[in-house]
Amino acid sequence: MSDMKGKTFLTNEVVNQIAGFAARTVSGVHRLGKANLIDRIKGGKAMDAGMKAEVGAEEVAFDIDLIVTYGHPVQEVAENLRIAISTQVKTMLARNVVECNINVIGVHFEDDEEPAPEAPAPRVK
Amino acid sequence: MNLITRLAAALFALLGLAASLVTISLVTGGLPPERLSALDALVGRIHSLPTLGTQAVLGVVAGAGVVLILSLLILYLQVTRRRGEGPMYLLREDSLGTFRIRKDAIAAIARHVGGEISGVEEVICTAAQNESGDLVLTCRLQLRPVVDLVAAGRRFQETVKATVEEKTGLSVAQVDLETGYVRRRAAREGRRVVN
Repeated sequence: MSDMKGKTFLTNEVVNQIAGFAARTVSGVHRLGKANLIDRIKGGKAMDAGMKAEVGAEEVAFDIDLIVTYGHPVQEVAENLRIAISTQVKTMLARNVVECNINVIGVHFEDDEEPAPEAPAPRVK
Repeated sequence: MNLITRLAAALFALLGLAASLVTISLVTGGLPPERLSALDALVGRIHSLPTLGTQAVLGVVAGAGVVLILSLLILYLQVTRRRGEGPMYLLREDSLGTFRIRKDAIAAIARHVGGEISGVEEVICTAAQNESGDLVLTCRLQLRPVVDLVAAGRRFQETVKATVEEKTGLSVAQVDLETGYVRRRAAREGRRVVN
C-alpha cells in the first residue's frame, strides 16, 4: 500500500471547462457567454466562455451567461443546464454545486445562421 | 468588465486620443512647439519633429493616426453598453440560485414572433416591468397596406403575449402597440399580398 501524500488542486478554468462541456449536451443551449473576437477568429467556441466558477474544497458555485435556442422554454433549459452541470461536477470532481445562477443574455434564432455550404458533388457514381 | 477597469480603459483611450492629436498638430505645424513649453521635460524631443523630412512626417502622422483610431475604438467600446450588462428580470429564485433573463432577450422573442404574423412587415419591441413586476411590451409595427390595422394589432398582441409567457414563464400584463403602414413598399408589392 502506498503511503504517498499530496494535494490535488483544481483551477477554476478546469471546473469551467467541465461545466461548459456538460452544458453542450443540454437541448436548447445555443452557447454560453457572448462570442468574443478571439472565439470568432478561432472559428470555434471556448468551452469555458460565459462561466464563472467559485471552487471550494467541497463545493462549487457558478454564474453562467446563457444564450438559448429559440423554441425552447427558457426556464426548462436553465433547469436542465443546472442539473447537467451539477451531475457532471459531482461525478468528475466529487464536489457539490451549491449555487448556480443562470443569466439568459440572448436568444438565438435558427434563421440567423448562415446557410450551410452545399456539399460537393460526389466524384464517383 | 467592472467599472474601475472600464474607467481605466476609457482614461487610457482619452490619453491616447490627446497624444495622437498633439503629435499630428505638431508635425503638421498646426500647433507651435512653443505652446508646449510647460511640458518641456516631458516632451522635449517633440520640438525636433518639425525639422523632419516629408517621409518621416508622413510616418509619424500615420502612426499617430493609427493610435487615434484605436483610441476612438476603445473609447467607443467603453462607452457603449455590452451584451450581458443590461437589466435582468428575475425568472426564478430558489435555494440553488437564480434564473434571470435580459430585457433584450425578451424583446427579441417578441420581435421574432411578431415578425412572423401575417401582414407585419417590421417590428421593434422593448420590454419593461410595471410596479407589480409584470412585463410590459411596447412594440412599433409597420404593416403592409392591405392589412386591417385593428385586426392585425389584436392578432399581434395575442400571439406575442402567449408566446412570451410560454417561453419565459413571465406574466405579460400589456402589449402596447404603435402601428403604421409601410409607405414605400405599398406601390410595389402591396397589391400582391393576400392576408
